Amino acid sequence: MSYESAESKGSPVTAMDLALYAEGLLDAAGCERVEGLLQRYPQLQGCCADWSGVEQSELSELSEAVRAQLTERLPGLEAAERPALQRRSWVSLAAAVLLATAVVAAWRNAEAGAFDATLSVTERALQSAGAQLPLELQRSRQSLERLQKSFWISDQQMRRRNRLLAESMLAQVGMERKHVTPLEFVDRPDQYPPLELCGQAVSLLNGVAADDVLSRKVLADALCTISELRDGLAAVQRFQRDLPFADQYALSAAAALDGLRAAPDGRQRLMLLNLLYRAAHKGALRGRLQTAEGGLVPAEPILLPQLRELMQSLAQDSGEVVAEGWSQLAVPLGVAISRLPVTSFQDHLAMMGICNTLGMRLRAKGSLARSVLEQGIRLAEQVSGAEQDLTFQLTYGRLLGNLADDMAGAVPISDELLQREKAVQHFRGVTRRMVSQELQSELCWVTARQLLLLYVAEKQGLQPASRVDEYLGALKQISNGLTSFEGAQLSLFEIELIRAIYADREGRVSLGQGLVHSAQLASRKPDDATADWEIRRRLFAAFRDSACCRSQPEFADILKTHGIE
Amino acid sequence: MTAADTNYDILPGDWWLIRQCNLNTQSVLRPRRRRGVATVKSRQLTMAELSETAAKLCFRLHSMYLQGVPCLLKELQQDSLPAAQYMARIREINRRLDLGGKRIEKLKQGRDVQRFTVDQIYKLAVLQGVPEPAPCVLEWGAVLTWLLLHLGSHSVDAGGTVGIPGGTVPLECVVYAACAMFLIEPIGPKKDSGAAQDGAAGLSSATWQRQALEACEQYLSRPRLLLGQADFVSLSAFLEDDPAEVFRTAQRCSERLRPLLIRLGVRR
Repeated sequence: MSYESAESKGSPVTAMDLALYAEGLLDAAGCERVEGLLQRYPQLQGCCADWSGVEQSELSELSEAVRAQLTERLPGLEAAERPALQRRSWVSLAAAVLLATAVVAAWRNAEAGAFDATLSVTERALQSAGAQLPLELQRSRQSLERLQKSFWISDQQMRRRNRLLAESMLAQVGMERKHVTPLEFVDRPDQYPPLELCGQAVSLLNGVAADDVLSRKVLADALCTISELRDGLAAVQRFQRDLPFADQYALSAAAALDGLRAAPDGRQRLMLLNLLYRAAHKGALRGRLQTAEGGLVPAEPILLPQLRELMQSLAQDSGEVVAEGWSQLAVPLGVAISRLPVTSFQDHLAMMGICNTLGMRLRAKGSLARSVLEQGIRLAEQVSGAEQDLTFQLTYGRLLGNLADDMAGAVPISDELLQREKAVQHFRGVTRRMVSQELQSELCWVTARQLLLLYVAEKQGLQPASRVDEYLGALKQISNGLTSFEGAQLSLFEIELIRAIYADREGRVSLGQGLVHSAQLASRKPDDATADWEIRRRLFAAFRDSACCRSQPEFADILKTHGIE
Repeated sequence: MTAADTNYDILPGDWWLIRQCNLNTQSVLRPRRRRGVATVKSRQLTMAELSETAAKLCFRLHSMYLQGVPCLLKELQQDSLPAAQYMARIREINRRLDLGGKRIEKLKQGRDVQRFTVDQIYKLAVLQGVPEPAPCVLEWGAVLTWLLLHLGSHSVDAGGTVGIPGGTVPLECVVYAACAMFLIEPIGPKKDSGAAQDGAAGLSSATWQRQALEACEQYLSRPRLLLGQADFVSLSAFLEDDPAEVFRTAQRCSERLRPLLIRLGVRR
């Protein structure tokens, strides 16, 4: 019998593996398996967050050791200096001067050498794949924070130190984002720890010279991350708490514009444009920005000229006239951005986001919106190996769902059902693999819309009642018994109608939620029948025989306003 | 023939108690701090370090068990359940545990959420209604034996570290530990003094064998963090059908240990 476990090779990760890994005792193959699992399930990282006392600061101690070895030479030299000075002859004076020079040179070499050694160790740690682990990151950051400017340290070394420190801070941000959610800081977004870290990274790199390409890349990365974090905070404020959110979008747009200025042709360009365009579309210009003195000023006068300048730079070959206001600028800017070349995976991801935002912007314009969304879907289908990338999966699903929404009223119901089914299946598949509130919200959105459309199709004899029941059951599971629709971007009247389906199916009118919002919506009939109006009309018509709806006093008016009865 | 009818030559666990003994292996890189100055020196591992590591591993495993990590691992790797339930449990634990000022601050910042400490195990156990959360002696002895067996057969790698392949602890280490712990003569007045004496341990075969089998049975009723599924089934079958196989397995492990302990300098 072997005393190596038979389960150790090519087998699932065990708790023992995690424990050995946390103690630094697991072999290389085991570490590979554990790190693969931790990458897939970052929530497990907490289990290995402790490091044994022995190994706690091995890396920083290594750099300290290098420093100590170099500086140990000093006392010996100083001891030799004293008798030389006591003789007071010119020979001894010369010797003293020589020794002093040697001491200074040794000191300088020791200090600068130790500095460089620490930087190199940190650089290697950051470059290695292991830098994704909290232990490595913490060590790198601590080592760098201990290095301070001194007489012997050149500006170039200091710039390198600042860049590496900013990089390790950004890597730490990546870790922290997995542990701390924007929701916890929704009322005090400026205190969101990843945002604070990014702010520190930016302040380290602010004012960096134009020819310092490496530092400018890191600065653009930091600003891109700030823009992403602000975007996330705005989304939470908007959908989870119903708070004013425009300020966060304004800050997101401002950070993206700063990032574009820091590295105009950097690899982050499309990512920054995606974030900028999204923030502007979501209402950044209605928000406020902070001045250097801490006051708040409207964002539009600051952001709009920069957006026009950007449009100018994108459209300079075509000689297009740049529109004045955002409402006229939005579509041409989006179209200009969507024509930019796409190379890397990050570019694909960013362009998918741009297509999604532009598609929503163009919703009223029918086929144009659909072609933009289809462009995004084609880009997504070109990507392989992104199964575990949350942003990719979210954006791909949103493109599929938005395309279905966009087809509403313009194509036969069966085509719309087919398209949304793709979105539903996509989100169902991904939520089985990944844990994310956003994914749950998106699954809720597409499932709810599909349920309503299936109900319409059932009433028109196009779909069996069992399909409605199936989707109603699924939605009940996702939305905690039809009580929690946060983040699903559903109109309140849609939720009322979903509850009406539920009440009818259960045969209890009391399970409905009333039709107050539906009635309010119906009372705002536009002068011309818009596509949205026609879609709503089709929906209300399907509820004509609903016992729950009929029990509501407003329902007769709703039907009348929509010309149904 | 019952298990107790046979004398087995199993090395008592006295060697577990040795602390100050440098193991005759290649030197391992160890950071140390001397007069406030950190250095990295290459030196040999001691039995004390091995024993402490074994104990830490056991406590950490229990901490993970109380947080539901083994179940989560199993489910995640079978793709049968999203991790939402685990996250809900961790949120509940975090909400209920008073981790102290600094810890709470770290928690808010999302750091060290499930940092392992021994007192944390007791707190977790209280929350989960587990009255005896600490790992048992059998676990520590089995892990210590496993670590030493590994150390004896694998050289230290070029980076100066000891790499253990992970997985689960082999059955032979668990049953050896169950026997070896009862072959150590306990301190205090001797019980069972009327029975026939056997070897250096001064215990009757019947006594220690009965105790070892009981320990194995008790261990199977605990969370069994060390054993894989196949080894668990094997041990249950041995206890049910052929208890002597427990001792034969332990004896084989002991046979491997004897020369190894001499080679490593633990025993002469």
